[in-house]
Amino acid sequence: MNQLQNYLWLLPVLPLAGALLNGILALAGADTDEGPSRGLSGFFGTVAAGGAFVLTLLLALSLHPNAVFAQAPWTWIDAGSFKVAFGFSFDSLTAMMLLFITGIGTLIHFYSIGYMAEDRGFARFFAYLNLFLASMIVLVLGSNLLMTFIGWEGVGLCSYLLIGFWHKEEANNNAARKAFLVNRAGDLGFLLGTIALMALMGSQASLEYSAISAWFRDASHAALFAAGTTGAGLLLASTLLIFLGCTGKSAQIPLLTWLPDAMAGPTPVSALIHAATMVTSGVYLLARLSDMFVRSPLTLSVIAGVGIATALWAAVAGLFQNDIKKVLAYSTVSQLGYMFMAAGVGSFDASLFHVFTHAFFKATLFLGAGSVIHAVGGEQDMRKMGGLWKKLPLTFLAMAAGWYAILGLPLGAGFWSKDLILERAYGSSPLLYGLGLLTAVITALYMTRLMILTFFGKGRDEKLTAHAHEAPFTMTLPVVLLGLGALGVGFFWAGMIPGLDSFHQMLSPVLSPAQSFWARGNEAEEGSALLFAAIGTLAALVGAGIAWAIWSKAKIEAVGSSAPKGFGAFWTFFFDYIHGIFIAATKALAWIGDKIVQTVIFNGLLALLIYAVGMVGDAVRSLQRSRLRVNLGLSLCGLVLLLAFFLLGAW
Amino acid sequence: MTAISALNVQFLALLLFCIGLATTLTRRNLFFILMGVEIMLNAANLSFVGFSRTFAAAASMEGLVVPVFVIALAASEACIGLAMIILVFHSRESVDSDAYSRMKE
Amino acid sequence: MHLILLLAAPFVAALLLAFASGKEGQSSARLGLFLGLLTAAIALPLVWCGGCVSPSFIWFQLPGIATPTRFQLGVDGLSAWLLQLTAWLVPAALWASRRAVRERMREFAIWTFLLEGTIFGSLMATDLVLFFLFFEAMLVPSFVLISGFGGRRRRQASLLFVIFTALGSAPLMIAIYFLAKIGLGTDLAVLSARFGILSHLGMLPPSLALALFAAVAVAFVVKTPLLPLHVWQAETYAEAPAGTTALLSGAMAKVGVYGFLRFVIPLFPVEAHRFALWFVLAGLVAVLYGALLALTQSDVKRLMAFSSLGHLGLIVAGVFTFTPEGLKGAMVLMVAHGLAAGGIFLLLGTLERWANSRHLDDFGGLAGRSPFMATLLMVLVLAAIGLPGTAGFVGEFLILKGLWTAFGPGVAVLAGIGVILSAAYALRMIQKLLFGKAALPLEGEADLTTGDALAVLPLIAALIFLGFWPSAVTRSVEINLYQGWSAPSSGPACPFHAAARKCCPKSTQESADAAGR
Repeated sequence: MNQLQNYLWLLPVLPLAGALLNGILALAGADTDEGPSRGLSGFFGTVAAGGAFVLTLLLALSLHPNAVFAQAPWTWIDAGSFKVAFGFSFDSLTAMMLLFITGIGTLIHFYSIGYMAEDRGFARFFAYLNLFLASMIVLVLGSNLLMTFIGWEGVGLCSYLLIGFWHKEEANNNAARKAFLVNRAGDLGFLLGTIALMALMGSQASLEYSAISAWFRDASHAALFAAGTTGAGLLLASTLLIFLGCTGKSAQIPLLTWLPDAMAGPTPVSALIHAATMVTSGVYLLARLSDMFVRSPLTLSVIAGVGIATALWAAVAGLFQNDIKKVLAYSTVSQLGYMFMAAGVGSFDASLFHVFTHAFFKATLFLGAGSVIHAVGGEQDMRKMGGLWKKLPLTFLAMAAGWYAILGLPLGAGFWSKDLILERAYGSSPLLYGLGLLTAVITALYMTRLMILTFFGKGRDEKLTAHAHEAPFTMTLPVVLLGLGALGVGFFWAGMIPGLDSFHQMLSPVLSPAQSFWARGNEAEEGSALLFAAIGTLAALVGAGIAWAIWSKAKIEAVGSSAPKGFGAFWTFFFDYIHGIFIAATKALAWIGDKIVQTVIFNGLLALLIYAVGMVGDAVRSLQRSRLRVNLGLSLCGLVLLLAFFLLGAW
Repeated sequence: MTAISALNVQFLALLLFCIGLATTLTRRNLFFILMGVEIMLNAANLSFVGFSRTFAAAASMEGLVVPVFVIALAASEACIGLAMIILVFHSRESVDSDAYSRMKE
Repeated sequence: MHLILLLAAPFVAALLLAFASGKEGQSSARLGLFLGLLTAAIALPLVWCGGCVSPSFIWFQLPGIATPTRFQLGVDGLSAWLLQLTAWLVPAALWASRRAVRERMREFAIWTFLLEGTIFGSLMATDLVLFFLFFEAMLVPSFVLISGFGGRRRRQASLLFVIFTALGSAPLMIAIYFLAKIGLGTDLAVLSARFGILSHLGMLPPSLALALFAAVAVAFVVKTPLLPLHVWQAETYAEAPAGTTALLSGAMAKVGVYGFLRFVIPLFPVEAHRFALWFVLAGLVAVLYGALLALTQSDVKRLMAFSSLGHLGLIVAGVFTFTPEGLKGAMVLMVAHGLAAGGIFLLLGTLERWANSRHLDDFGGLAGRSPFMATLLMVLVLAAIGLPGTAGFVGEFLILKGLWTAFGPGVAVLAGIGVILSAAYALRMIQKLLFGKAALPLEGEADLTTGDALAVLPLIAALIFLGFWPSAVTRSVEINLYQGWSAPSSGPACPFHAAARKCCPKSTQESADAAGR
């Protein structure tokens, strides 16, 4: 149905309209005590998101796997040497991403109606949430790098607004600011990488993804970036810089310090933005530019290395956290590391599949955590919880589904995606596989610890757990749905459900040229899929078992703040310390600039100049005699001199 | 009548001019400053008239006409000058030029 | 004719305002708004003008120069958008200042229109002497506005501004005389052609060319301002009344950049290319320096002054890359910065009136107290730091690309670090102003009134529109770059030029002759 192509622009516009409407509602109701109508605001917000989901579904169903819907309303930038169109393109990769973005997005909108019901800033929240959805859609729907960048910075902005949503607390504002600035550092990498790419492509420079892929697939261009040429340097620089942008957005080493702090925002925000959608933008970008990245093997090795390092580091950090949301935050960072590792070994489809499954089970876990926090009246320290499985049965079951999935236990969603990644990693390097397996063990460890501390045992803080009750319907329904998804979506890969195109087949038109190019250059060891599955499950069970042994019987004391201490603090805040060095250096430079350069040099020179002029002025002023007679006399002398000059000079 | 030597007329004019100049520059009383200016102007007049007698009739018209202009000028200047002295007297209550040395105040 | 009408409009407006009531400010404010909008409407068609020239009149003859100085105005792609910027900022500034100035609105409006008129004159002059006249004349209304309506240290600020800028322009005056002597005339198009040829052929003694180049460049380095002659900026922007600061930062600073584009580069192409890297580095150091200092400021207007220093440095760096994208980026960023910085200063003026202070620590919690004001301020600040979707991003991206193409990755990285730092100080300002707890109670209205918001909303709308449609600006830059007005109408048809041709063929013939000479 080609007519649908003309409605591509509606996809971002629907949530944008919702954002504007909610914004107007928020401003209009600003001076009342109650605020704008919850029903109106929530309805429009959710309908806007839902509308985008329905449209995506229609588009996806009518899309042939090889086809692309495109719409380019106008030329955005025309700089003479290159043009950038304001265009949208909808291919199967976009379809896959948008389906879960808008789908999970709509569920979380629905969830927020319940979660934020008591909050005065209800309409504002929905405005920001809709704006975020619009930006994310633009990110994925954009047909060229700069369109994606609009969405890229847009989600960064909305992340800032939503993390600092409760802006009366300085801590939230600082966390929001940190997120924005760390993201911006990554964005610089994105922009510079784009410019380097244009320099590499030379006269055929275009930022359209289709043009970039075609340029790299064209074998005649291979000589331009063969080893030793400046083109190779440009390609390396461009890929590394763009990857830096990805580390910023997807919270990998070295730009990951913002994600744990971002938990200061409301839980739906953490679920939508920092688990399911925004943080996956980096992986999406890598997949989009897969043709470029596979031709720079060094970069891919770096990506794989960074990915597994982050995964391992974050998993260990998750063990030290006592705040339930922080555990999930580090878990997200760790799982993102898996995705990057997969991309780094040339398996972009595996990384995207993990994006897909992770969105479901992480959203389940976060929303479930939100229900738990809501139930215990805002407490987030797990050491104070316990024994909640009886009080919150539905939430417990849903979170158990999420736990099952993230551990990679058989037939859960994570089982399919994580084992696929490990399998592909083994094909590239057994070391990567080993580290990945270790990370899986630790993942099982901290996730089981979370479940045990939160749900099992006796309630440690009687005051909190006494009144705990199941969350309202608007909150429980999305959690349950997502929990079912956490169990079920893995089957999309296997294609066991008849009629549903398998994931692999859906993405192959987009990703297979790059992956087959990579596969040709790097022979992969094949192994039995069943063996990998068995080892993966064993690792998860080992981790779960160890966790059960340690924590189900342990005495937990809730002493002091929930922040990690001692070695845990050192490990957790390691990258914050490194960033702190840069921040201190900047502050020092600023101080030098202010006190020394501006004050001493510039203002000092100015003062010197003023003083000199003043001295000259005083000297000249002494020539002025104020007495009338003297004035007359001096002016007469001057007249005589002038006359003499002209009369004598005329000779 | 014996012809007066042209040079003597000029000397007289010069003398008058110097007296006028000295008066203007050295007297403190505002009126005397103006008087000195008048004397200088009249000395210039005398010089013109003297020269007109020296030159031939055809070339000497200027010598008779210019003094007329100068007299008119001197009269109006004296008018305005005296009026200004009266006005300015209101602020300082003094005709001593040193009292008007500090223009700022 | 249209150009003379445009030039006369602000002066006529000032004259008309003299008849407004001096005691009550509202009528002057309304009259000023109406006249400002009228002037802007007159300026609007120039965007499509492909090199319009006005009829020329012989003005006077400088002693010792062969050809007489002519009074002729011209507009092309470089000046069209800068004229728009000025024309649209003036009514916004007037309307936003009405509550701060109150009874003295009549005088404020008169002097603001005079400032607008002199800026128009500088941007439209085709003759060096005419340009210099308006360039210097800009100082008079600015001085009156700052010392008459400014903050606590307004006398020092206005004196510093006037003396510093006048000293900077003095070499320009001397250089104009020499240029006229060598080039046999003061008409800019003629001089650019002749000097271009002379320096390419190497017929000018290099020391003379260098001295003239330095003399002409100094004036614009001071005006923009560019490091190291920027000392006047922080004090002046801080102490001037908000509406005037919006104009100074939004319009007058662009005259400095315009000077580089129109005078320095066409007259001295060889020297400009030779020292291009120096100017780029000066611009980039300004970006970093401005951002670093903005991080330490506690006076909110001084903070924005250093932010302007940074933006203008980036613009100048873009100009001196001599690439099409660098130039287009500079143009877009000029318009974007004018709109964004202008809007921010106007809102800061309202904040200053509410709090009686400009100290950052005295604010806080504005988002809770005045959400409308907070929203608009947030949007403008985000536009100023180049959020994609606003015009600032397009400008910054194009300049980055131009820097990389012309000077390689290192320079682009420097500029990029400035981009990160700009977000740092902007967020610091936002956080201290809007979030957290209120430090002092604010007086004045509870939230931004519709009237005050209307002064700023068109600027925001323009920023977003240009963010998605920067071709409006970049297309006009393609018209007559560096050719001055010697080849009119090589771009989209100028409706007024075509109409003039139909009605008065003789006058356009004369102007075409004069331009082609």
